[in-house]
Amino acid sequence: MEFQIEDLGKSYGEKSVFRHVNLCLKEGDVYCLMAPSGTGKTTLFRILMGLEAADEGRLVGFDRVHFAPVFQEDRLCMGIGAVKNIRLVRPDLPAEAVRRELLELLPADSLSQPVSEFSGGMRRRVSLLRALLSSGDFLLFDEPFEGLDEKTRAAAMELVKRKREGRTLLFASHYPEEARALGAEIISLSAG
Amino acid sequence: MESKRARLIKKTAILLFWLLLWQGISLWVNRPIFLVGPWETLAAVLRLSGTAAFWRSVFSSLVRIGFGFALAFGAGLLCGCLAHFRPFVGELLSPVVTLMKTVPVASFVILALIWAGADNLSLIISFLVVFPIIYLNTAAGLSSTDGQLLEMSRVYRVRRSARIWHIYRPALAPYLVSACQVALGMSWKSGIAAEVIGTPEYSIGENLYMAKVFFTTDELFAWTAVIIALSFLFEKAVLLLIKRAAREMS
Repeated sequence: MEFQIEDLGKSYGEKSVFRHVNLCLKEGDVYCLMAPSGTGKTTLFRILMGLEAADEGRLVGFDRVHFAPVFQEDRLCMGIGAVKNIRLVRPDLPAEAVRRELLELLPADSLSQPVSEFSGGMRRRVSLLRALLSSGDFLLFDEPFEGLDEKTRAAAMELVKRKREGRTLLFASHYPEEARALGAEIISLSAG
Repeated sequence: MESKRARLIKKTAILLFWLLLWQGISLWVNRPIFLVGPWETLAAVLRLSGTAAFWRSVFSSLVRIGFGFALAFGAGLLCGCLAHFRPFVGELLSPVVTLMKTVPVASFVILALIWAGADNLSLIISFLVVFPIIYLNTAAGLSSTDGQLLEMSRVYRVRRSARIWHIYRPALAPYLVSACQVALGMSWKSGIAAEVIGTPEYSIGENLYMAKVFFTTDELFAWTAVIIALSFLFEKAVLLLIKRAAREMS
């Protein structure tokens, strides 16, 4: 199966974000979207998820997709713990199973704390694991490793490789080494 | 930082200062029909509380005002939610809420007295005063919900019940708590004022009115002290319930 983006364009008033974007993504493959800041990577992702409408062009094969996104912001419920945040999107998963997964990424004592008390890096890991454990069939990550130190970044990439389970992954990044590490095909998006 | 004990001592000292000042002024005025001191007030409270009529009046007013508050809380919460999720409902209710906010309580009291009689007057007035406060704060609280979290829940197809509990409820809770803090005091003040005008049988308002008619100033002060104490306890109890409901379940 293929997902096609045909001649997609988006502008805000007079300002064009991108035009004539054409992509063909194969189901189960990994893609890295590389582009300078402000060229509409996040906007493109939002259009794919149905959170914004494109001004021109069309999407083929996306209508039945269940996305599992990592947003640029962590978008976690701050008042509850990491286990509950993940079970919010996967209520069928037993709390103990989620705990086990989290313990590979976070210190044990942090699991009893609300995520508001987590560091930025810890929140990022929870956000990443939430996407990977969700039942979504299309992983859409917007700069998922941004803000992580080198060691954590490597661990996070390893986690993605391990937990992707053959699902399509499209992620935005500024670093070619991240694309290489995940065996991704690089897609470039140029300004305008 | 001040210790708990030091804070308690400070608060007690402040309270004592004002009580002594009150006692001093009442001694200086020396006309009990004008002003009674704290001791006379306390003595009147103790004397009144020994009668069955006192407790019946307290219970009746408490039930009427409390019921009016509870009804307004439920209706305000429901209508506030409807107004947020169905903006047409908000537009439809807008003139009514504006009317409730701007019409003087005294006008409502007289109208309610004509339409419904004195018995349930404080219930109706309490409802009319509390409803717009809860309604407007519910709508404002829901509007303050984190849009990014709502987008996340939409994309991840989070269940509606979980969305309400984990995303809407934390946004709504602080608005509801502060709305209740204002509304609880208002419901008491307006409810008792309505009772003073309508003088329903066995009510605090009726007793206040009688104290005024018979110039029993010590009883007037005693009933005022009872209103303050009941309002304080009512506020604490309701806020405790709301805060407990709002707290995250761990």
